[in-house]
Amino acid sequence: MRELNAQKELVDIAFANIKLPDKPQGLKVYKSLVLHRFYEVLSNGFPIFYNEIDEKEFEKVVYKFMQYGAKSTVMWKMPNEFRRFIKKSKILKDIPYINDLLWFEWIEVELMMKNYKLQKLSKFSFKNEYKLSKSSVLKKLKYKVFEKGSYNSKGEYYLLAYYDFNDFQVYYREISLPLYLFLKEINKNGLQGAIKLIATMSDEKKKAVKTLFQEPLEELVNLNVIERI
Amino acid sequence: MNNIKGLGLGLRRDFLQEIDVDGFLPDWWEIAPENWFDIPYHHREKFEQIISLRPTVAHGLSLSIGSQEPIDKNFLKKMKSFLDYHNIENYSDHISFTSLFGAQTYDLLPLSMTKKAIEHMSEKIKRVSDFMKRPLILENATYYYVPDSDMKEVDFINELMEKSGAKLLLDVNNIYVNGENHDFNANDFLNELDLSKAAYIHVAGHYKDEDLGMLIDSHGMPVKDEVWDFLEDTIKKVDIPVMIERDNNVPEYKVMEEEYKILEKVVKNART
Repeated sequence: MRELNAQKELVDIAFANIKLPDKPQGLKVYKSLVLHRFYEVLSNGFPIFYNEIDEKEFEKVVYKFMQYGAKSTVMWKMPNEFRRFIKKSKILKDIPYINDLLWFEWIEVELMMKNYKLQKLSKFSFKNEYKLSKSSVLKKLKYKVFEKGSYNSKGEYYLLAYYDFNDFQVYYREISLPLYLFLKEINKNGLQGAIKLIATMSDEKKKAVKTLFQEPLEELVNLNVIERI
Repeated sequence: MNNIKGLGLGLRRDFLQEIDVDGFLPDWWEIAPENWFDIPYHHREKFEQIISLRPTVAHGLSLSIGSQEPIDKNFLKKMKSFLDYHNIENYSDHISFTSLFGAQTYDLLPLSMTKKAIEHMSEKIKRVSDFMKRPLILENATYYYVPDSDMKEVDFINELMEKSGAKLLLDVNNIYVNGENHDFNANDFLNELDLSKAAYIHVAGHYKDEDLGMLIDSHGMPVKDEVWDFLEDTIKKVDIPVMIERDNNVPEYKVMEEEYKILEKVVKNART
């Protein structure tokens, strides 16, 4: 029991946002080491958020997250737990775009770290079936967090984030509502289902929809954003 | 350690792409497996190529063998499958705890050095070894504060190794740092340590925090001369594989190569 109590005491001290007395010095070391670890991972994982928030405020939020408890045994996943914590706890509700911004920053890490098996590229054809690949994500955002200086601009934004296998970077692209719906529908009801959906919504013939989407779909296949099933 | 001989180096993502497979390679690599469970696409091929060229051992960070809670089975499964996939025979972690009730601290925290802690940990060590189908190797860690304890560190380690059947990863920098911070002589400590249990040796850098008046085991700078000297003394007593650990401020690969050459000289001196 005393062993458990000693562990609880040390973890509580490390996670508490308090100033410690001068002695014993060793406790200060642990407090600073643990804080540093969280601080470093989160400030590197969310560089935009870190720049937007006061340093003291950031430290306060980090402590609250430490007390809430990060569960992942691999450190690179910690920012995602932090993002979920912020969303659930609403402790940064005075920053209206916070959830969108943290998603925007996190998805870059997630797409970088995924384990991909690259498919051999083939030319796009409406005769084949496709799905959104593991290396791409679609998201509807309420704030323009993908544009510096416009984070507060409220609206409806459709974003495509994807991992580029040519230069090993993650890219974001703002896409139109029809393309967003089209790509979402591909995953649910296949390519023909997506064409049908857009045709119905726009009161256009399927052939016209195909013509409209031909070029973007060819490009998305080349970028591995959609892949053949 | 039946598959490694000679001198090793910690393989870090920071310099992975700088490694020329036809150029300098250490005798063996050590990796932190948790940092390689998920590998960015552009590193995977190089990583697999590099570790296929030399024997590789895994030195974990998140086992939390000393924590007063059950072992995380999902973590163990993931670790075993990683080690099996990459054919890694030797797996080590630290005599410390990193999490409590599932909450991670991502740091190596000190344990109460008591008989009860030894019993508790020995049980866990046996379960881990059985599951992993590998003997567990545990590193003597640094500690900056002694939680509620009634044993000397050296007695604690000796008894833990004896009761659990674990092997010791002998970190000479940690012994040196602990000796300076807790006023004991590193050589006396070494003389009392049961070196028959030692599997391999770590050597790393540290710095002095002037405000706290303590040495900090940072793994973020070159090995200090006094630690090289202590390593030489150690190898005279126990001639086993040695490797350099560098986890922070990781320099270019050629800088690590230079430090490796120093290690070669130190080991050679110890043997003559």
